[in-house]
Amino acid sequence: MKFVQIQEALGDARLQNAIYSATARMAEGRRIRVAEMPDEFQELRQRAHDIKQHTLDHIDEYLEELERNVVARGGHVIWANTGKEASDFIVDLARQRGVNLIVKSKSMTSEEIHLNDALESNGIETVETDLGEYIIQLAHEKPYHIIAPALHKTIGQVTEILQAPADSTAEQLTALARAKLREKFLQAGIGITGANFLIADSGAVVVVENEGNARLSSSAPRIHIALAGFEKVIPRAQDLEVFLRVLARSATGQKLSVYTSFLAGPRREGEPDGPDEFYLVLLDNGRSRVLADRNKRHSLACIRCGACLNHCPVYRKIGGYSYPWVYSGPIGKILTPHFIDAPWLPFASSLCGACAEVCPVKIDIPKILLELREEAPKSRAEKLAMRMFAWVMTHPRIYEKFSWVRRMKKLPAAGPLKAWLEQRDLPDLPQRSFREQWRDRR
Amino acid sequence: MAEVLERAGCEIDFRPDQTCCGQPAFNSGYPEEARRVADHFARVFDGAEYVVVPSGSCTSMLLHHGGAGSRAGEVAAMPPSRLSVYGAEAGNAAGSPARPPAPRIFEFSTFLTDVLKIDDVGASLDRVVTYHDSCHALRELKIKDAPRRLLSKVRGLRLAEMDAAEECCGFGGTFSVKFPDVSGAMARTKIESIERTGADTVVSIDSSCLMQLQGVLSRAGSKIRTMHLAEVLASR
Amino acid sequence: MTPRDQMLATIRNALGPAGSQNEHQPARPADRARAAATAAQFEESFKVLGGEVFHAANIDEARATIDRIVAGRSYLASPAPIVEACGFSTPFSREAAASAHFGISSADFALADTGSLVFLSESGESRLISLLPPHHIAVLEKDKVVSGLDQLFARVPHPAARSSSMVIVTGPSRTGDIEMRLVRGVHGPGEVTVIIVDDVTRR
Repeated sequence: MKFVQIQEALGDARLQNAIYSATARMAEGRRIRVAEMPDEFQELRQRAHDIKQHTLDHIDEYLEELERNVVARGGHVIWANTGKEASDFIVDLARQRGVNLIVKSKSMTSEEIHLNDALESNGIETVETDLGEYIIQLAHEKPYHIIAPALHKTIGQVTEILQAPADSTAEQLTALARAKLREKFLQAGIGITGANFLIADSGAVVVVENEGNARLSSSAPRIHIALAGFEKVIPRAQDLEVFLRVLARSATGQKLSVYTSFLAGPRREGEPDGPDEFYLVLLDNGRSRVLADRNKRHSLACIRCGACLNHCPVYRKIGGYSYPWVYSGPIGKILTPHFIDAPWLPFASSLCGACAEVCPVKIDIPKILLELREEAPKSRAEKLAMRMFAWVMTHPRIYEKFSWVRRMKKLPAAGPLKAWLEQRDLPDLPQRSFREQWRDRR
Repeated sequence: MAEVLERAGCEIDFRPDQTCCGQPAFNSGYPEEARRVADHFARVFDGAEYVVVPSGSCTSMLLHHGGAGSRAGEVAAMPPSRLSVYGAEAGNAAGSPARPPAPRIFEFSTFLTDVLKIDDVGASLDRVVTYHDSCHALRELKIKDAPRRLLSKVRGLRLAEMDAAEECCGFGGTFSVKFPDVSGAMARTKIESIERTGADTVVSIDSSCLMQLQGVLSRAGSKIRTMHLAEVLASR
Repeated sequence: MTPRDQMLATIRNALGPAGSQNEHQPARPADRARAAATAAQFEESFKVLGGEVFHAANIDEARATIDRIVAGRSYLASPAPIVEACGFSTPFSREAAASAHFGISSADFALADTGSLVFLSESGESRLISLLPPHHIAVLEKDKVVSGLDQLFARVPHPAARSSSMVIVTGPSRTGDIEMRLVRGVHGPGEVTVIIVDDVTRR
């Protein structure tokens, strides 16, 4: 359990404020956008849900169609069963092409397979180019939030990390990073991006971003590699309308993100720039286990907007480092148990349902959490307690005998109750129960 | 709740064999145990015309989850006979408009507004209150207006909305036992929002939220108190 | 067994027996009836994002406007017909793109509801021209303004058939990565100007 990180987050007042205000701002942005089109937005969510569900149920066919079309456009598809297969391919390609500098745009999938470690350990310089990711890479940390990786850093900390003059403004720090990274873009032999969507009927990858670094990573170097989980495929270019209209609104409250790049293969004749070689690495790495679980299959519909994090009262308290895997927040809670051993994780939720209410593809996160709870290993003591509970609750005479509890002035502060009572007092209960009062009335 | 309903002209049949909806087991990953308890619920309330529940959370359990694989779903199909009040132990009430397939189980506030078509129960209470939307009432039962409408008709009462009315109080049943610190931190954030309204009372339709909020308010030495909507509506 | 065949077999095995409930692709709903897109709506949306808009009645006015903005500073211009007509075309090179103050290109479409510009890489237009220079100037024919994404994909249902790259650009490059403070011009241009030309056939 990540209890140390939870305690650290809860105990850091500045961090609490940073998480709370950043997530509130993104949530407020979403609220304003949705209020502009309340009915249409709900229709779009339903359509996004339906398209994803259909695609996931037929994903083998769509992946083959995607492959055919990528190849038809002069690109290559690499099928990677594991993270190692994916990073081995990228390392080998870099070696074969004599590439020793790679620029990367933000990709949670590459975090998942520890791609940077694999490249660096083979002597290939790998530079994150999203400003937040760049800061995090220099600080040797992990992204704190799916779409706001450096959310937990203060401007003072960023100034130190970038070795900038004291009292630099956000504008000055950004300009500094721009200048440093611009050189890297122009020198790099390979650009690696993730993909928000893979378009089966076009053989295209779609990358959505605000800074322009993904656009540069996919356009300036001679080789572009897109790394994506296979679940990112959608059938048609025209389906993008639905997803693009919900994605940025859900994420940051923009109508559209600044750059939506629709990339199909390497540059063509007559095009003055763009990569000479294009590779799409399709990753499984455990996703097929989620696919096999019919009730939880829709977990793979996630489009990584981060809205569930911004609206989650638990994430907003414990922050991104309290989760045991790269994906944090509610979506992390339902994905992680399929990938690593974290049986406690589905229980770290008050089941408030705020995540499901905002999810742009309508993933029923609380329902999936309940199923994961059912499947989680349980202690013998807890199983016994629940059997006792069911027995008492189906035996009203026994149940009534427990009314003495209410007359105790203080409950014994032991076991789980002890921790509970450290946070709060018990309510004063009436001396006589409702059923006693009711009996007296008759 | 019983007083309010009687004043509204309902005949009340409190069935002493009633216990629980089964949610604690259901939410902890024990659907089989929950099913047994929900079956008991269905047996106890067999033949009732309406079952009025003073909790959004329990109502949601019965309507959305209890119906699946347990006899509780059959309560919906019971022939009309008398009115039952379910689970009034804490003297509290909460309610929701039933949705198919179980149209006869109602959360308390929506039973008043949607079935009895009452929004003024003749109550009076000289307090400034803020209303806490409990998560299951709000998100699973879509209850937002009914309690506010009822509160707005209480004489002497002023309703002051908080900025985080829809945010979870942090209770979450066993969540508050397994992650007491996180749960407590969530409640304190909620309480800051309550304090900003200047209200002296927090009202909700779920006793579990109220227990959580009262526990943390009292630990913080706050003068703000919690009341169930039914208590407010019973005040004269 | 190749990794490809292995992965597809794993996926098919996970899907289980064929014939799921979602046999049919969700149909595209009929396009909503929208008011005709106007350049004025685009202009409003574009300005909200921090962009700058100029109107030109004809090519000569467009040329004069660009001249005024460029004011003798360095630029790189694309070979698109509308840009050439304005008399601004230059040969492309990465070095020129990296050092020029302005990038001048055409825009293939503009989306009125979001204030977006759409660039396809066909007709010899560079990707980097709208990306590397700190100030991007896009020249747009007035009748290329469409209402939004639905109309864009109705007009270009298969972007891949036309070009290796279609990019929808919605405002200047931006970031909020440092304490959520909005900063423009991170990697792409911090300034974006659109010249809307009413009639490209007239001078």
